[in-house]
Amino acid sequence: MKSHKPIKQRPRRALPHLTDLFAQPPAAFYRLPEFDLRGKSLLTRGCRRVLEFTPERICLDMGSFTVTFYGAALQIESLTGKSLILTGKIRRIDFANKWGEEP
Amino acid sequence: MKLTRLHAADKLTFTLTGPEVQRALTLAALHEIRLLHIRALPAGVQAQVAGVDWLRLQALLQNGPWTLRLLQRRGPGGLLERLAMRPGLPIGAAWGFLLVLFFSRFVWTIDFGPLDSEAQTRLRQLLAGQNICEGTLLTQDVLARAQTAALQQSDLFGWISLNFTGARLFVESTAAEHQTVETVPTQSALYAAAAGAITAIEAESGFCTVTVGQQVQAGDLLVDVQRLDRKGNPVVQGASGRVLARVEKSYHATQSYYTTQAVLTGRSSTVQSWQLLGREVYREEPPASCTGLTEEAWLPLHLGRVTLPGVLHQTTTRETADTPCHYSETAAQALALRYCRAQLYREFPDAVIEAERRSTVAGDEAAESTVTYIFCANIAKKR
Repeated sequence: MKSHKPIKQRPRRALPHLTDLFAQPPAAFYRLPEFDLRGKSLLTRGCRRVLEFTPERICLDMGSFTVTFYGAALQIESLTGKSLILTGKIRRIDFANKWGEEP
Repeated sequence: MKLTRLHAADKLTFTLTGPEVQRALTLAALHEIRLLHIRALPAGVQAQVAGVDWLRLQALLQNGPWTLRLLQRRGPGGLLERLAMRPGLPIGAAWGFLLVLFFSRFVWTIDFGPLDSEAQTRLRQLLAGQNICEGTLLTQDVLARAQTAALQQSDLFGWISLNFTGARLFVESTAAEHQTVETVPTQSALYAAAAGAITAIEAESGFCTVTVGQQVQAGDLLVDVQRLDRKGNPVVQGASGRVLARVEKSYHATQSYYTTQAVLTGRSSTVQSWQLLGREVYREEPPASCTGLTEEAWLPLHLGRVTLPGVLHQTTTRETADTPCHYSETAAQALALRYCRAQLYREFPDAVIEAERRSTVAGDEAAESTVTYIFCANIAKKR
């Protein structure tokens, strides 16, 4: 007789509740910083100021937050208006609420 | 001219030094000045900016504590700046272009193509008759007129086309081909032009009235145009063809020992006329006394291997004069004999001489010759 392999049972994901799908996003959701990764570049359209700029560390004012990039050979590929493109080796990103609250 | 205008399409690399250079970056970004490739330096930043924004960036940062220094320019601005420093170059190029446009309406060179020298000479004379030579301001009307005149020279060209493009007049042509067209025989009979014995009859049309070997006299009917059929009705047919006969005929000629002939004196005069851009710039006056054979030549002007829109028209006149000539007795007799043969060939161009008897008399004033030829020729002639 042929021995059948035991079928692996996939764990079932818990389905989101229908009310969660149509619920409002958390407060200040639309004011959160937004970043796009495009190839080796990181793009943001919410940069208000460059607070700090060194090859190892770049700190950006994103409105309610400050975002700090740590890495090596960091450079700003393009900066115009609130649009900024960042390149280099990013090792860490820190988010901080400007008013002391946790992001 | 301002540097910024010339470098609007350039990309400028600069360094920005001073305290808190990130403030300067933010300031530029807020004023919609796009900065590219911003690298942090120990004392500031290095970045690139479009040439069109350079002035705004300078104005924006001049009141701050920063130092802006231009490192490199990349783009066509450098070339434009060098051209702006030497305005003669673009102006000269534009002026040259206009001159080329203007002067290309003149004939700079005439290309006769594969025409032989005789055909070239005739066509050159024809063009000169239409006032076309190197340096002429050529219009379509003049060109069309010249082409019509050239086409009328049907003995030389079967087809000819004069093309003028890019200041070059070139000739395309095909040689005339001659075709013998047999004419329709006319309703006239052929008669004997001289007395003789018929040796061959090559009548192509008509009714032959003689036979080979028959002796005929001058004026005898050889080929008739009409014959009666069995019922007595006339049948008409045009007469043509050849009737060969052996003829014996004498010719007489006289050559005087002293005669006057137009002889080249050895003197000649050349009149030159220089034409440039269709205008005569120099002309020599021809000597009044020199008359005789005239020969014209058109020599295109060259500067090294560069043709010029001009031509040197050269008219050479070789003087002739009526000069008394003295022939020796022998020469006069030979000339008289020659005249006799010339008379024979004038009367019978296809004559084949079989024998001749010469009789020469050397007189006091002239030599006389009488030659009796026995020849075969076509004696059929129309009256």
